Amino acid sequence: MCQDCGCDTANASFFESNPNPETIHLSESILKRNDDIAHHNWHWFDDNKILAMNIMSSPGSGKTSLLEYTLPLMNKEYECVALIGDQQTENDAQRIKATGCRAYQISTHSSCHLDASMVEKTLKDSINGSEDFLFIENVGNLVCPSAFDLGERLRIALISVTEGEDKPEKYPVLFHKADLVVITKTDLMPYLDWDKEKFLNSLRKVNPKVKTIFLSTKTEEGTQEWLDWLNKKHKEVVPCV
Amino acid sequence: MHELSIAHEIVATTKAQLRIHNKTEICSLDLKIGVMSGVVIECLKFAMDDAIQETPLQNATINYHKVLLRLQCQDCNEVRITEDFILVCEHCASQRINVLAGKELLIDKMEMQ
Repeated sequence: MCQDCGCDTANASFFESNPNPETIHLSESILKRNDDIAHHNWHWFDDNKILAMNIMSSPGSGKTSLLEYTLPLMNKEYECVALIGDQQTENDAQRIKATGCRAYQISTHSSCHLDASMVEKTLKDSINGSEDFLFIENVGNLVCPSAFDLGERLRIALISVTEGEDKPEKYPVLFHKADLVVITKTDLMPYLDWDKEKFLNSLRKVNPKVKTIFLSTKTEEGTQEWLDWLNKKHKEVVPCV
Repeated sequence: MHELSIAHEIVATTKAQLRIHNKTEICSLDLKIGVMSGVVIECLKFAMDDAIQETPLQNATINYHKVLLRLQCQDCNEVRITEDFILVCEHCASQRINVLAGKELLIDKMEMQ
């Protein structure tokens, strides 16, 4: 019973008084707004021949360390820039800048992932279009970043040998969408029981043909393969150079 | 939790559709959530409960349709419907698998007035 007027319509459907609602068959992506911005980003990168990469992993897998190693070397031949996503602090961007390379921090505050609009807004202040490589370091998280297209051409998933070998099966979306999986901190393998074949079997279940690179920025194992891969991918973007 | 971002996107899209169609209230909303979309339905429900407050969705019936994975082997054409994202054919062990369904994240339809 309505406590204001005493009528008995309180249990009736809110919409019974309007029995003919209009049905719209939309079949539209929930993330359409993000995807439209990502599409715009993608075209802007393509028009300016910038190879944009989205680097994703759990926290502590070595994304920033890999960029600290990579950017100074790549900058000898190319113009590179990094966008770094974290909830708080500018620590990681500062680490990249300390190597003499350009880096810009995106503070996501409460968000656990980057999205296309965050990248778009940062592009205006950070990129002039003459760059060859844009490395986007996503927020450390194996779940949420995989759902949001940023407009990147390539997705790189990192996993360190200190993480479980079955991570790909546990977090299949991120590893399934990866164009490259980089296994980091291989210098620690002598001290661990990490099973390489078990990891590769797990990965093949969710992404059968993805390329893998095992590397260590400490010993430089695998780093030349990583740099060669970057060079090869850049040539695919700018084939005449 | 990215489901909160997604909940806000759903609210924004429904508001935009109301403007386009010159309506004021959403009566019902049907969502299709693939098991490999990266979105957990229970988390989305939790996020939606908050996001729809004081919006045209707050009295709507929201239907969450889980879309299972539909995997087809490119070698033997076997089709498997499953929640497990294992891209290996159970029939012939091929790793050449097409994902026909299960990645959707859609606003399927809405009733408005």
